[in-house]
Amino acid sequence: MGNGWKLQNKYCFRYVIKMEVKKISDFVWELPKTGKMNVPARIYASEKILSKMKIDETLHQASHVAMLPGIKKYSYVMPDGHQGYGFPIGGVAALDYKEGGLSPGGIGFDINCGVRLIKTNLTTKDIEGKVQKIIDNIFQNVPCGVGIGGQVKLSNSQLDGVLSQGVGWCLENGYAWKGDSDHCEENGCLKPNDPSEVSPRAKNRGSGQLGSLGAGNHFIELGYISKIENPNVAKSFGINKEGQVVICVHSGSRGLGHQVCSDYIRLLGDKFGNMDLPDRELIYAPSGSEEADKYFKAMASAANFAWANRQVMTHFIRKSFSEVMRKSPEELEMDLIYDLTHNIAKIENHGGKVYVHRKGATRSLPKNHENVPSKYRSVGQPVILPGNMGTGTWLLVGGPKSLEMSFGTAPHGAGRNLSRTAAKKQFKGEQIKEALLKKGIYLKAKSWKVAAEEAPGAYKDLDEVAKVAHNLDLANYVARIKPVGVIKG
Amino acid sequence: MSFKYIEHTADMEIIAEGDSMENLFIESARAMYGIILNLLKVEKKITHLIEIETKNKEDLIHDFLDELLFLLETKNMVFSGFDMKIHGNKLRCYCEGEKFDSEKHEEGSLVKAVTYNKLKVWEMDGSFKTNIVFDM
Repeated sequence: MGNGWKLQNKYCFRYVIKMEVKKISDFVWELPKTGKMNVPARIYASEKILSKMKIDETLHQASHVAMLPGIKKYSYVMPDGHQGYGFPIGGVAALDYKEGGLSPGGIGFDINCGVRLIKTNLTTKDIEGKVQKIIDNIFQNVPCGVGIGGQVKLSNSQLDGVLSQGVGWCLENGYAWKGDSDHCEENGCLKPNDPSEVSPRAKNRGSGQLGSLGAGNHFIELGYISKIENPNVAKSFGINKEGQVVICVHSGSRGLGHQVCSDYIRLLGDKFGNMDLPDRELIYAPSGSEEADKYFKAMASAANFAWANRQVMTHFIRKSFSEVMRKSPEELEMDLIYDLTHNIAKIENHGGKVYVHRKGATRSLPKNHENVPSKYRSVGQPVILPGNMGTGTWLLVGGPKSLEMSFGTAPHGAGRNLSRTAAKKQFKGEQIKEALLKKGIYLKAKSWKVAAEEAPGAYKDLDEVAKVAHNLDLANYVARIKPVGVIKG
Repeated sequence: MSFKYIEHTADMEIIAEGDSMENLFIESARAMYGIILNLLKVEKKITHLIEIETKNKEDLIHDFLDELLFLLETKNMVFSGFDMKIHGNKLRCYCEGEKFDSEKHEEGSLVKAVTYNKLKVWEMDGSFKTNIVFDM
């Protein structure tokens, strides 16, 4: 079969490019440059993972990304890649700063969706019999699920402060510790930003949502270090022993970020037409245009909202935890290990200035890179790889080949392999709760339907994803985290 | 009139169908609300008028659904009744509903956004159809 229009289902035709995947090595595959592709696509995956990618539109979407102007080297797919919209999830592309562009769809609606890891000085023994109380207390203090409900209501000027300062605003307003911002990517404030490039409608959506988790794949996970693979690096990150209790938070920029993305896709479409692209979600602001400048500033503002959102949640998590443990968060040494974004575009230098788009992909910098926080510079940037409700999280460190192989990028999680409808047919929320409890994991979910959609069986094997990243030296093993309690929206 | 959910690994994709453009839009709203809650439980207590004008039908259905998400996030409102008129690319809809109640409405998942991926409105065999992907 060659390229051409194919019947997708009863109603839909879609232009399908014949996908011939060439094996380069055990974990590296290539889609050769064909048709309108400007570069080939490189897929980092095991054979097992690749077989799943072939079932949905992952590879098709990677070939679309390769059609963007000024794209450097390859259109990359990380090992947790799966079908998204426009870019695949796990898609990475560097577009030339002068002759390329900036694509809102290459970042996604949830601008700066990201994850952070908080440590404690406790061990599993210290929280024995208290997991349910800790989780219930956090659930009480951190709003989640559908509808209105942030912890902090913001005036217009306060919101502008959040958008321009990110975690810095939280520090000024008592929601952060001195030092929290040092352990955030971009110090929790992406520049250049400009709140005036964010529409009033987006601001309206965000003003009541600061400090809220959201729903879907967003979560708060209470876990412990089950295995330390690299004690030296772990120690630098504040991980000293197996059994140490940690907390992982996954959320984004809520309705504010979603609206910024919608606004700019419309604006770019109105100004530039469909730009001869196969998917409207790939539309881009050409490099050097006024629109590229405006979108970057709006996106950075939304990213700062997301950093502040995770920071405000951290404040209430510290509070909830300390109430149950009857000790202050400082006594419990609840320091932030790291906060990273996995839906973003950055202006970076990789032998020339480029817009690096990471959509469901994590920046992963090796040791001695200037953008690694000084405390970690001698070992590398922490990379947090959350899995699903049952399997927990991998803590990795930026690997020596990431800059050369993926513009300094690693995967962002396990990635789905079952659709939400299929997961709901296969699993029931209450049964998931029972099954997790038998494994020693307490689940608190706002909606049982979401719990079913997010069932452990709906995700790829996290260890397989981490194995590919580790073997390719995109990011290397540091420690494995197992969950004991999870909050889902 | 009907809608169905299409397999999509990460997000939710729908195909909706209506015997008129208005009914197509209403079916799409029902499909979206079907992800978020149980629409049968939403009572028609409050009326809210939505008026939108765009350049084409795709943008019109996008903005209509986006407005429903906006009203949920900013006013906590959900709607089960729609009295709609569409002329060209102009929409006027009286929406009837009530404040969202997680327990009463059997809360489901949160739709983050209406995407432009695959977004299409077309007419075939005398009925109107649309294909929409929601970001979850």
